[in-house]
This record gives sequence, structure tokens and C-alpha cells, in this order.
Amino acid sequence: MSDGRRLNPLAIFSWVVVAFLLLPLIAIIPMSFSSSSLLRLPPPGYSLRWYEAYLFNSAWMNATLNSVIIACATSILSVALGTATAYGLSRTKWKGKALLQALILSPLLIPGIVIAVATYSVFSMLKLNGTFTGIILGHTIITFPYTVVVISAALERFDPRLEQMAVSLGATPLKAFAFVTFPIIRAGIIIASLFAFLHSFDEVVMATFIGGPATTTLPLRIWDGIRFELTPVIAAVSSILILISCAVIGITEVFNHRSRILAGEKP
Amino acid sequence: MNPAVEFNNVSKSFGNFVAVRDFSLKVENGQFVTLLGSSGSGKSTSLMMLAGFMAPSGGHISIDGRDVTELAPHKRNIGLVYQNYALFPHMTVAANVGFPLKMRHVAKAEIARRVRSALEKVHLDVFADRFPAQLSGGQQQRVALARAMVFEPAILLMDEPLGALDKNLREEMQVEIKRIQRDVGITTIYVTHDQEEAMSMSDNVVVMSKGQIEQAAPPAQLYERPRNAFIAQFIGSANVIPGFVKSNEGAKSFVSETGTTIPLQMHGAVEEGARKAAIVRPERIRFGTGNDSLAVPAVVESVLYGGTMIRYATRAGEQRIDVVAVNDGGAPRQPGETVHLIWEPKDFLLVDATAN
Amino acid sequence: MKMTVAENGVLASNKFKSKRAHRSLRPSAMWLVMPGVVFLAVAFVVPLLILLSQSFYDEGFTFRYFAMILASPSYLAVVWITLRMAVLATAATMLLAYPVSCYLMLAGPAMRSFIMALIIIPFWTNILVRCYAWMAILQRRGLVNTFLTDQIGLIDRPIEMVYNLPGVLIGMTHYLLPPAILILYSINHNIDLRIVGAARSLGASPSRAFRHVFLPLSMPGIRAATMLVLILSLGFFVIPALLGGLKDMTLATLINVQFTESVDWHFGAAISMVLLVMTLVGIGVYYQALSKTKGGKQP
Repeated sequence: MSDGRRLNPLAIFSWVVVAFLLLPLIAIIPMSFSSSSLLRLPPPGYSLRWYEAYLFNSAWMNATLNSVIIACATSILSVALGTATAYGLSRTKWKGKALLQALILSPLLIPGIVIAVATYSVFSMLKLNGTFTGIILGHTIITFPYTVVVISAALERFDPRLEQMAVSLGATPLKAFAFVTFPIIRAGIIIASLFAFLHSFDEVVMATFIGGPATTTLPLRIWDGIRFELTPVIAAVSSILILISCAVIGITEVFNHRSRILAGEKP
Repeated sequence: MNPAVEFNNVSKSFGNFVAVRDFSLKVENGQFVTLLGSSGSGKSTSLMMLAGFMAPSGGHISIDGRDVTELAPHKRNIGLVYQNYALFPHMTVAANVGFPLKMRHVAKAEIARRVRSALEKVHLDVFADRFPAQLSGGQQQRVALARAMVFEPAILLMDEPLGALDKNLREEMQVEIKRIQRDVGITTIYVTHDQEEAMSMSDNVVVMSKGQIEQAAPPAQLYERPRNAFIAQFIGSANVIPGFVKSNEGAKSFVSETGTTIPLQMHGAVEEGARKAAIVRPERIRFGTGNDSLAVPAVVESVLYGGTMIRYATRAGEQRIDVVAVNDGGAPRQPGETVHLIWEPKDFLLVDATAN
Repeated sequence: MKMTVAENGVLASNKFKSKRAHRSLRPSAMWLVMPGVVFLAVAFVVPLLILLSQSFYDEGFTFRYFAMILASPSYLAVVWITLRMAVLATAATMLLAYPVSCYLMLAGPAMRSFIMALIIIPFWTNILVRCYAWMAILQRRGLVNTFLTDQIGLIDRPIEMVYNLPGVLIGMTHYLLPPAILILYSINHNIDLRIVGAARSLGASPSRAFRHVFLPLSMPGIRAATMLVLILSLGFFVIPALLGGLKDMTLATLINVQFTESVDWHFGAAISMVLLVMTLVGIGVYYQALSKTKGGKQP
């Protein structure tokens, strides 16, 4: 239904909202190239000093490296657990299944601060605070629901009779998974790992509690930086993070497209 | 010589619901046997138990004399073809067909040779490097067939494989499948709800209803000698007339519950007084003359001129009897006309009246 | 070729019947679910239970921590502030999100994909980056104020747009819009727009057709999205902490204080439980709203 009169004010309104969503992020990018430390647009001059302040600073780089390590480990652990859980859930018709699914999704809805302090308090008993293990475990808890949801969606598009057919043709259940199921849901698994990586990389609330001097993450450094002063270094870091997000979205779209084609849906 | 497949008193229940009961069947080597029934008859469930994807609640299943009831599906050496083809979308046609050989650790060169030969049998060798999504429904079904046979399984199971195809293609594929099956000589068990398909393709048809075997016989026998009213009506069409056998001074007749008397010419003993159902197929009834003592007089109620056939609904007393006549160009009978229905004695069957 | 049909029970072995009745020939999939569920139970549920216990057990059962919150006006004010902030943010978000979701339904597929990609970009961007952007834009010497005072001289003194309630609301709305729009769209996009067309052809004006046909049909999506946004806003920590003022303390920031500055973990646990209960009530209503959408799916 394309009613010309109704479309136009609605379209304008929607674009205004989209602008509201995007302009703040877009505004940061020129600011990061500003030669002065004043936040002003257009910038008085252009320079790369803030990027240099980020890239050549060992504290910033250490934090970035920590974040990458933690995010990679979290992603692997989260996807491994998530794949097994999603696959198990899809193959059972259990009465308690709905309850189990609610449990698995609950970390998404419970306030992050509550999860953070609960974990902090238990980890302090276990002496896990300030360790890499601790923060990886903590991040896995909050990314696990995402991986289960994404991989469950991929499995739903996958016809279970394909596995049955593979088995009838002589494949052991393990080989059926490896040769038939996995290649088809591989795109979903990749998307899930990107989700988990990015979510862990961006996470700050739990990190403020469980992180320590050795495991300072990038968001933690930004958090400290923002509360005390708003230097444009943060603008430079932010611009890089925005670009990474866009790149990840792009990659995700490519894999989404591929997985839909494999499942036989029209692209 | 062991039968290729044997079901021994197999049953399957889901909680209180009995899906299959007292299922006993022997299939000899090289036979094409069809399980025929409507949905819920238990035919697919029986096939799934043979394939190993469902465990029977009772009874045994053997293949080539070997008890496979407890055997995992991937060890049963069975070829499966489904209605939705179940081709692996991420593999080429050749990779699909070669998959079972790869699972059996056959050498690569040997796989390539056998895949080519299998694809040639189904006339699809040109499409070896295409992906399933690029093929038509009929072509995909042929790939599925090639894949199910390339590893020379003991038996081939097909679960309503032609259901997704349109009528012309379906008939074409029926001929194809039968030809390939004859060529290769593989024991095949086919499941369908389409009785014409079952009759035209099978050496033997097993008619199933509500989880039980109603009758298992070659198509001709099933058609000419249906065991009960259900089968008579499921395969082809039939007049089913409940009633009793009466004897009057040595002459036997069948009296319908509607009060119509039909003279009987049965050889052999027929119990008097027992409630039976008389079965006579509409196309086996002819119009005779009033001089025939065995003819049943009736009045034509309606005439449906169908081109090839003319269908008459007649009424003998209170009993409705349908007649189908080939259109030989003569003038059809008119409603209200009195006719005399006659048939061959062998075409008039007495079976036990079933509860329905 | 002959075929024989064996009659009942020639070789049937009854003793095998009961053993095999429930056996499945496929490996049990429940084992695969175990690692994840056990992990969740140990790493997520247990800490929460411990937190729960800390809220009413401190060398003996006690409710004094809950009493502290519920009896003291300043702490009740925090609860009130949190609720008020959440409700205002939810209202603002839904008012903005609903028209956009309608536009997505009406737009062509290419435009729709494009807009959704644009909406997803802030969604995947670090929350700190988004807060930083707003701080840079809204603060006294930030983009908006320097533009208004120095560059076009519209005002003399800068407008206080951040470190106060408006700042927090702007930040929260900005964060909540993408999920609100996406949920509204995903639940409502099945609505058959031809029904609205039918209403028009029966004589309804555009606004009446909208009000009496489309709006009621879209209620399930509205309910679900509103509840989700409300639940998320209750627990916000980063945005109020960065964009809010000192007097805009929410339950989340209060909890943070207990665990970092005051080191009164029991009190913090009690406040956490209050927040958790509020959230669980919201989740309950949310699942109710969601189940109504499943029942009323459009054909």
C-alpha cells in the first residue's frame, strides 16, 4: 500500500530519527582529526596527533591487546558452549524445554550491574578477580545467550532430515554433523562468534568490577578517561571502534546472505 | 534362501496411541513391494522402523536373515529416498551421489567411476557439477535415487517420493523408477497413498489401515479378490451391500439389509444366516434382458455422461447399485428406465461385514 | 515370485518388548545441552543466589538491609528516580520508534534493508563511544553550545543539556531506539496492510483507518517492545553514570557505590534484589505480552 500522502511525513520523520541515531557517531570522526583539544566543529585544523596519542601509547595499546585476547577467548568458549546447547535443544522435545530456554536467555534481561556485582562477590571468594580467567568466564556468561539464539536460528533453517539422510547413507552421527550439519550452519556459527567477540570487546560494567590492573580492557580505559577528562584521544579510539563495528556488520551481512542461500531461501 | 526383508509381529506405540500393530511381512529378493494406505495408516512408521530411525515397541525386523532390530541406522546398508529429496545443498550432485561411498572409505578413483555410472543410469551425468538448487524437482529426485543406489544397498526404501511432482512428471517418474529397479534388481519397499501408483508399479501391494495390514497381495489379486469392503473401496470403486445369505429350497440368494434379493450362483459352501457384505464392482455390471433369471431388476435414478464412461445410479428395490458402462456410442439409458443388472459369478464376492 | 504373509506372533519374543519400548536408536541430545546449562547454573545462577542470601543473611537472618531501603526517604527517592527515568525514556523511545517501524513496513525492500543497516550501526557501537559522543555534543563547551554561542551568537550562556535528567534521557533514548524499532518491526511486519486498504475502501478516512484498524493490530508489538525497553531502562548503569548529574542517582549507580566506595556488600545485595524484583516483574509482564503475539499471529 503506497499512499503518497501518508508516506512523505512518515518518511521525513523516520529519516530524522535515523539522523538522530547516526549524527553523534558521525560527528566524532572529524573531531578525532582535530588539531586542537577543543571540541569544535568544524575543527580549527587537522592532524593525526590524537591517533598517534592512542597508537603509540603503551597503556592504550596494552588495554587494546587485553581486550582482543579476552574477546577471542570469550568468543571461542561462548560459541563452543552455545553450539552444543543450541544443537541439543533443537534435537529434543522435552517438556521442560521452554523453561530451559527462559533460563538461557535470562542473562540478557537481568540488569548488567546485578550480574556484575554477584559475579564480583563470588569471584572475590575464589580469588578470580583481576585475572584473565575470571573476566573470560564473566564475559562468557553474558555472551552465551546471544550465541545460543543465533545458532538456534541457523539450526531452525536447517532441515533435520538432511542429517537423517546422511546417517542412512552410512555416516556415523558425528560424521553427519561434521559433513552435513556443520558446513550448512557454519555461517551462523561465524556470525555468533562475531557477536560474542564484539560484545566482549565492548563490555564495561562487569569489567569495572572483575577487571584488575593486569587485565585492564580498552573500554575500562575509556571509562576512566571519560569520567575525568574528555580528551580527543577518546575520539580517536571511538572512531576506530565505530569503523570496526561497521566492518563487523558488513561481514555479518555477507555470511547471513550465504547462509540464507544455502538453506534454499530466496535472497 | 532368506527373504530380503522380514517383519515379525512388529508393533509401535506412542504412549497410548498404537501406530502399528501385528505387522508381519516377508519380502523376497528383487521384489517391488508397496505399502499403501492413507495418512495415519502406519505405513511411514513401518518404513522408519525398517530404516532404523524408530525402534519398534515389539517384534523383530530382519534384513537378509540378519536381525537388525537393535542395529543403528548407519549400519543397516539401506538406500532411502524421501519426498523432499533431502539432497545436501552445499555439495554438488556428484558429491551428493558419492557421499555414501565416501562414508564407506571407498577409494577416490573408484568413487568417481561409480558416481558417473550411477548418474548415467538416471540420465543425469551432464549435471554432475551442478548444485541441487540448480536442478528441477524431477531431476533432484533422480539424483536422490542415484545416491540411494550407488553403494548397492541390500534394500531401497522410498517414502512417497513423487508426492511433490505434478501429474505428468509423476507418471514419467513411475516408469523410470520401475525400469531402474528392474535393471538393478534391487529389493524395493515403496510407500504411497496413491492407489493407482501402487497398483501400476508393484509386484505386491500391502494395504494398511489404522496400523494394521488389511491385505497383502499382487495388484490383480487385490483388485479381483479384495478381502473386505474397505479394500474393495480403497482400490478402485465398489458397491458394498450388507445383508444375509438365505436358502430357499436349495436355491441360495443374498438378501440385502434393504430387502433386495439377489440370486446367488456360488460354488462351495456359504454359511446361511451370517451377516456378510456383498461386493460387486460397478464396471463389472452389465445391462441384460428381463429373460435372464439371475438378473436383478432395477430402476435408473441418474445418469452421468462422462465421455469415456457413463455412470448410472440405479435402485433395485431400496438398494442403491452403481453401474459404470463404457461409452460404446449407443444411446445411454434414461432416468426412470427399468434395467436388468447381470454380472459374472466371479465378480460377486461375499466378505465379512466389518464394523464400519 | 511368491509372497507369504505370516500370521500373528509366529516368532514374536515377548520378553524383549518392555526393554525396548522407550529406547531410541539416536544418541540422546540432552548430553549436548548439559555443559552450557551447567556452566550457566554455576557461573550465573549460583552467584545470584549467593547475592540473594547476602541480602538477608549477615551472621543470622536479618531484614535490616531491606528496611534501610524501604524505610528511608532518600533511598526510596532513588527507587522513584529510577522508575521515573525508565518510564520517561520508554515513552520517548516508543513515540519515536513506532512511526519508524511503520515506515519500515511501508517501504520497499531495498530501502528497508538500507535503513535497518543504518539503525544497526549504533546498535553495535560501544556504549561508551555513544556516551562520549553525547557528552562531547551536549556539554557546556561542547558542539551544540559552541555552535549556538560562538558561531551564530544565538544565546549568551550555554544550555545545560548534560549531567542532568535531559542528558540521561537523550542518551537512554538513543540507546533504546534500535532494539525498540527492530522488535516492533519483527512482531508487526506480518500485519496484512490490505486490511487497512479494505477499511479505506469501505469509507474510512486515513486517520480513522489507522486508529481503528492498524493501531489495534499493532498492539501486540507495542506491548512487547514497551516492556522490553522498560526492563532495560531499569537496569541502566553506564548512561546515568556518565550523562547524569549527582542528584540523578539510580538503583544501578547506588549498587555500584555500595560495592566500590562504601564497601557495604550486604546493603548492595539488598538494593540489587529490589532492582531484580522490579526487573522480574517486568519480565513476567513481557512474556505475557509476547505470548499474546503468538496467539494473535496474523494469517
